[in-house]
Amino acid sequence: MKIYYLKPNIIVAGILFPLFMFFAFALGRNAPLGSLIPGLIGITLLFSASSIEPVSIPIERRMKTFDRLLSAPVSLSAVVFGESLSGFLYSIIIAVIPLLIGIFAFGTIISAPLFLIPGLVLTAFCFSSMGTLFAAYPTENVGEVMSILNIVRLPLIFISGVFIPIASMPAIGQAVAFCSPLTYGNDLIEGAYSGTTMFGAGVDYAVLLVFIVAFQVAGNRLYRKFNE
Amino acid sequence: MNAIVVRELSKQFGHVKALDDISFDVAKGETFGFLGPNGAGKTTTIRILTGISRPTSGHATIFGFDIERERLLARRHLGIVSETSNVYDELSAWDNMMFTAELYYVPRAAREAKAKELLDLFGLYERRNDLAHDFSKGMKRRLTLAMGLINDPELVFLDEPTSGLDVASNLIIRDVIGELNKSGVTIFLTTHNIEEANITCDRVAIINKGEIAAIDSPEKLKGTIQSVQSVEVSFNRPMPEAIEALSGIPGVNEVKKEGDKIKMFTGNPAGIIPLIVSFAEQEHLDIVSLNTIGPSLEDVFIRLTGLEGRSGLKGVHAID
Repeated sequence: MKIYYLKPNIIVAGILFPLFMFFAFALGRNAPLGSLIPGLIGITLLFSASSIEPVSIPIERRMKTFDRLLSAPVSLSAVVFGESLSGFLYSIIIAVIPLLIGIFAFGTIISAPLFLIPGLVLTAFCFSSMGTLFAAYPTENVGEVMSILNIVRLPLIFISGVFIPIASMPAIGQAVAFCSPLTYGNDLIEGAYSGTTMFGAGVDYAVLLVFIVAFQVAGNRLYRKFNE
Repeated sequence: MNAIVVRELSKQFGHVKALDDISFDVAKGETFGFLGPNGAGKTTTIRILTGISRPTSGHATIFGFDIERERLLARRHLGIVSETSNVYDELSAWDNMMFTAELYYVPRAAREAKAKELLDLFGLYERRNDLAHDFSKGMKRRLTLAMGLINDPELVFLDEPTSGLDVASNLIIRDVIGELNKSGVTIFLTTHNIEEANITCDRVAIINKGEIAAIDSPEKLKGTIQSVQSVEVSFNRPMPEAIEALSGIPGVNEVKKEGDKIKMFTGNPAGIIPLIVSFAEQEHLDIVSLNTIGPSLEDVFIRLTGLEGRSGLKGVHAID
């Protein structure tokens, strides 16, 4: 972890990009900054959690240190899970920053901490698993993985109710929103501030867990396939 | 029980057959050399045996553990030193050792003692807190080897361990390989350095185009091409016409100039020596040195891999 957390591409993709998006939306909507804090936490989780493995794994392939992991007496599922954990931990640490800014700079109040903690944990692990899955793409070039990943994660900002409420979307937009894991993570984080969730916390937990399992299983299969 | 058993192992990449039904055994405590030209299937074999890659068909065991079904148990017995010095540049030598030890479940107390012992052995203990990034190529190679031994493996895969190294690193690594072998560790060595295989290995397998061309001890392999012998002579002064003149000696198949020496390939070294001496007397040349040279492992390698056509070593080819 200590090797990769301060890599420039991780700082840019995981910290600066969410911040720029936040200001872009805040200025565009002329809304109080405090009201956008849940959205900032959501996209921070998305970008920070999913940025570690797409950077670290291609570099490890190039340096051949990934072979060291693959040939160790550790199962492939443990390697995939461990890689996801590093993105998860980084993301949780980074997400605390907007959380504290919200509390101390804008006086935002967390009404339902029980939504917040599982919301942060599940959302962070979901997106770190997604990053690990995309990093299975067999390349030694960080840019290639990031490009493919951005095709998926950039649209998630706009279709998941982060800055644009799902209720105000057209029917097709709402249908797409239901397919995004960020929708459910954001619902929990919004719920932590507002006190209520759109889908119900149980549904949000369950859907995020399904996404986590799906990303982990798919990741395992792809790493196995590409290492044959 | 053998350390490695390989049976009818094949690996297909699309339309390319990288390994074609190879089979061999490596006994416990043996130093086994795996030689072959680039693309012959050496790395593919190591990747399958170390569980990084999967075979298309066939099977293999490491100390009786099936590499497919009991992969993790098999890997616990292994130390792997890959061709690339795959150390973590951003970590210190010590942290690299600790990380590898954790991967191999080496207990904390044992791992620190073992890391100290190995870093000492490889002359890196004084630099243990320096980042690997700042190490020379030879130091990184030594660190890679130290990392491969942190779990006291019973079997070590060494992929080109001394390739492109300075003399000091080379000597340290060769000494360690010798010591490992003395202590009963099985060594699976791939190398381009045929002389290294010749002096290090109990047995050698020559692989070419995915197939095992020969497996035997270096001396027995050399014995299969006894016809590839030569006489090497050096005169006290250069004589360009000597090559043509010596080519005419009956029984000489080819003459090559190698530095200040002239090498004559023949099936009958004893028969041509008097004729060389006569030639020297006629031309008023003094003989500085005169040696008969048997076939080298390299000759065997060249013959079995069919490289003679490209290398221009017609002597080997012609005499065969």
